[in-house]
Amino acid sequence: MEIKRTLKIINSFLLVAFVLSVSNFLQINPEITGNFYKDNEEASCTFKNGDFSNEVPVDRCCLQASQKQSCNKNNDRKVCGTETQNLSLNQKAVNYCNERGFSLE
Amino acid sequence: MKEVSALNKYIHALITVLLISSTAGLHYMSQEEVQRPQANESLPTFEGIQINQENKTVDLESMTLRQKTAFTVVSFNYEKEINKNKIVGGMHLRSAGSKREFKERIENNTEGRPIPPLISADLEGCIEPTSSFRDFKSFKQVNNSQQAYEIGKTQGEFLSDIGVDINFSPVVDLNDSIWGCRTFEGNYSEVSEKACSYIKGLDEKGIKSTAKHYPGKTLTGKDPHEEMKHVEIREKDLAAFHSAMNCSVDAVMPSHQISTGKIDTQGAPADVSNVTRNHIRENGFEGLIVSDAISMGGITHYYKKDRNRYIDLFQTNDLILNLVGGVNDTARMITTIEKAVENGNLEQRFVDDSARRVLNARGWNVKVREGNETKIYEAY
Repeated sequence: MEIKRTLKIINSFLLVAFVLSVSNFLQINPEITGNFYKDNEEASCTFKNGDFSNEVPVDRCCLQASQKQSCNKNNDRKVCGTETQNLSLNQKAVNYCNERGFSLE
Repeated sequence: MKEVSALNKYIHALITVLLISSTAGLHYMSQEEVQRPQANESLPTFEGIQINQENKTVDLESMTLRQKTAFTVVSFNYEKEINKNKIVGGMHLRSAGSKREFKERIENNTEGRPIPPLISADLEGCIEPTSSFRDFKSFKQVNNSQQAYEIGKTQGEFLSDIGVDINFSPVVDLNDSIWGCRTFEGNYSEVSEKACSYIKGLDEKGIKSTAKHYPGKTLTGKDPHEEMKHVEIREKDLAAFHSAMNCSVDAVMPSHQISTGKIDTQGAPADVSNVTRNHIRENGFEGLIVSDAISMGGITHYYKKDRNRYIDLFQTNDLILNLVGGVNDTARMITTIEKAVENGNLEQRFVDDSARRVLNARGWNVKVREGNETKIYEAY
């Protein structure tokens, strides 16, 4: 009886591991895996060029910003470029760029 | 206390074995099929390559697959100096604080190498790497072809002076609603004329040009960073690219967008689509096909495995812009491509052809054996 119970417990753990592995393989990240957190902020990057200012695609922003000589912290944003021409990224955009491997120094 | 029957034990043992093996199997399958960098893995050396420095000729047959692949990858200028015996295919310039700094950086990476890397830059007159010490007129400010020619010459002179080989410019998309400064103003005919004049200006100073981002409509629309971007291409979107090819542009850069209409990439991003390569080559273009930065979400979201992304990129492009990760990442990509060819997942002719074109663009004549004949492809 004891052996049967032990095997049942082991099998239950294995079953859970199996389900998690399958969901990981299928790239389903349920809340219980710890990969999910609520974050309503959007990645944002603003390009300023003299009087011109526009929200630009974060992907292209990463590439352009990573080519800049330096980036400075300005309040909660990172600003890359000069005073007259720069890219201003919020923290989520900075994280996105770093995840993709674009280092913003 | 009842005894566990032999059958029950057998069933439990079977389930346990099945679960362990399937879990392990799934874990293995979910791993990236990309070679992980080993401690001793790095860029290949020049060893064994037959190089004639006098007539600037290199024998493609004397190169290993790994060496050929290395010549086709462009990275950012590396933070640390790379051993002079290692092959650095290409180096893309980050911003610098002065002209002198640019020159020093380039010299540090080129001098002493039997075949120096191809040096590239993004000098478009807008968001340029020189912005902290020098501004150039943006394309938006160019009113006519003469001005486009002049800005081409001015930029060409600067780039030539610091040691750049190829400029990833001009953008010949018809509109730029994102940056507002990267495209020429006017209809497709005016954009084509200005682009040709600009290319001529660069060429006069010995700088190679790149028409981007094929097949157009890259700098419009909403932010696609979390999903693939789809565009419909019209004949007039292609006009400036065809015009640039007729004006002897040296390279064409396809975009990460999925296109329909006149260029139907069949659901794949343009820079990993055979349709793109075939269309560009069918137009008689024999120059370089250069990928856009390959870490952008526009292409990474399309693939689950890096290996497949690399293979498709090598099937479509001659020069691969791997602008993240440094030496280790480049070495890893080279190893992945090497394995893909060895395993029959990528035809070697793609690597051979790309290496030959890149070396030609870098100013080297390339000796190639085709059947029983030996042919020399001349530098340009």
